Amino acid sequence: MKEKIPRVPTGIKGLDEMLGGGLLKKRHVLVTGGPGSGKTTFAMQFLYNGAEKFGDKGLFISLEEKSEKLVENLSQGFNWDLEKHLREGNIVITTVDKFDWDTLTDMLQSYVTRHKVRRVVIDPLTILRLNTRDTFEFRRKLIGLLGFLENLDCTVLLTSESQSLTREASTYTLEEFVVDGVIVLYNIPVRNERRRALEIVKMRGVAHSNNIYPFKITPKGIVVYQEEII
Amino acid sequence: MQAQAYVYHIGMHLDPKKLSKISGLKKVDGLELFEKSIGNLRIQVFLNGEIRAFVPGKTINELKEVLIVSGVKIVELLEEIKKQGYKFDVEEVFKNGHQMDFTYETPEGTRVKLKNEVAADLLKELIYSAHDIMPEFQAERNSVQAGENIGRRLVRIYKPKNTDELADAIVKYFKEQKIGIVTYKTKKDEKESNMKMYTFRVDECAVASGIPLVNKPVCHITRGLIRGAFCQFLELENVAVKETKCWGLGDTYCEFLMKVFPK
Ligand SMILES: Nc1ncnc2c1ncn2[C@@H]1O[C@H](COP(=O)(O)OP(=O)(O)O)[C@@H](O)[C@H]1O
Ligand SMILES: [Mg+2]
Repeated sequence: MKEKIPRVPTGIKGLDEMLGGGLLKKRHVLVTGGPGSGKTTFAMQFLYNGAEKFGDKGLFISLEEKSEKLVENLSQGFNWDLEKHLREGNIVITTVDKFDWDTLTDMLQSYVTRHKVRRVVIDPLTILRLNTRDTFEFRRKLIGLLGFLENLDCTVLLTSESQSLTREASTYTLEEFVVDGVIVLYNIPVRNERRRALEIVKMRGVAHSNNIYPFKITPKGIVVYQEEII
Repeated sequence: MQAQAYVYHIGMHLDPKKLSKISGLKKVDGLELFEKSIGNLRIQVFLNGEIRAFVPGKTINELKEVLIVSGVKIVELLEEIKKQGYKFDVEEVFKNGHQMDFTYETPEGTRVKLKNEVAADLLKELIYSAHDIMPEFQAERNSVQAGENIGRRLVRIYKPKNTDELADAIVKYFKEQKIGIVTYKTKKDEKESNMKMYTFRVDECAVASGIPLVNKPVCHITRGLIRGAFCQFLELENVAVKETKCWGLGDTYCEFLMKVFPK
């Protein structure tokens, strides 16, 4: 048998169990869902747990929200000591002017090779697609970037905004074909309320759970209820 | 790559005339470099005040064992150097000895005749041959990394006090390495009032000069160099450098725009 690829635990309660330990090290995963489905929360929790529990440095490239606003929002919702990790440089939040690919990659390269960042988030990747000439060019650049990052010692989490609340096979996007794994976050109306749920749609090289599990966003962050099936 | 050598820094430039007076320290033929051998332990003294200790074929861990026994010889050598009229704390220098970082620098005195004269064909071949064996993206990243390493090093070597001095250091470096003739202009950044934007023009660029049109800029090494230098000096990462003119784009010189963007 081949040597097992080491895992990078997300530290999200219930999810690591579904994944059989965590994400695959040096691979990339896409977290997709509608607006407010919890993508940004998920992504930051991945970095926060990385710094807090596993001693991994993290880089958050925020393409939609300004860094200060993002920190402000997260500090309101969650009792994480994010400020401490920002101060100590364990987590860095930054953006890229005009979503310029070269600068994005130059910066990523510096953070990974020089500052030894081990977890990277790009939130949301979708904005880069809007700012790239055509789909072919976007695909070429994305494959290049992910291939490059795979050779470095870091695990990448990308987010993408999807329109529909539920999904059908026809709604697969280009990003979903390129990445190693896809996690979908749902926020489904059930009678007079919305229920959140999570599904691992694809995870190359992982024997993952195929069920859709409910999750809640709590002051501690996302908690997946692995015992309850939706 | 990992250097299997120990290094001590005296922290000042040494005069070869003075070094040649120290007994047991021999000048290497044709170079401005001094050596001493104790058994199989080799000690080299560089003009920039750097002292390297190593045993050919031995790893750093094996070297550490050798140094436990022979460390006193290094202290003796430091005392000898000090006697030549240099003011430094021998104990301090010895105590701060450490495993050397691998370096791509060419220390003064190690290429006496050729200095840093560059073979433009060879440099170009090394850069462009990467495209034959690896994806284009990787090849470009390799150049950016090389440039960035150099750019960051410039800050250490030239110790600029402000960004204009840093830009001057870049000009000087290109001149010394004979890899291009650099001039630059500055402009106020309307958005970030306390920051200047720099436009660097590179004539006779060693990487691009004479290449045919490829409809994209090719001087990733220079882009990385400028970015690395500013990132290191400003202690920031949010520095963007864009190559706006290049032989690859049909121009006859190269041009780079540097700006700091908001986080
Ligand atoms: N402490 C909390 N308890 C419950 N829900 C919260 C808490 N903090 C934030 N939320 C909810 O989580 C959502 C955050 O979503 P976000 O991660 O920004 O989604 P996306 O990035 O997918 O748009 C908000 O809509 C908010 O309702
Ligand atoms: Mg979001």
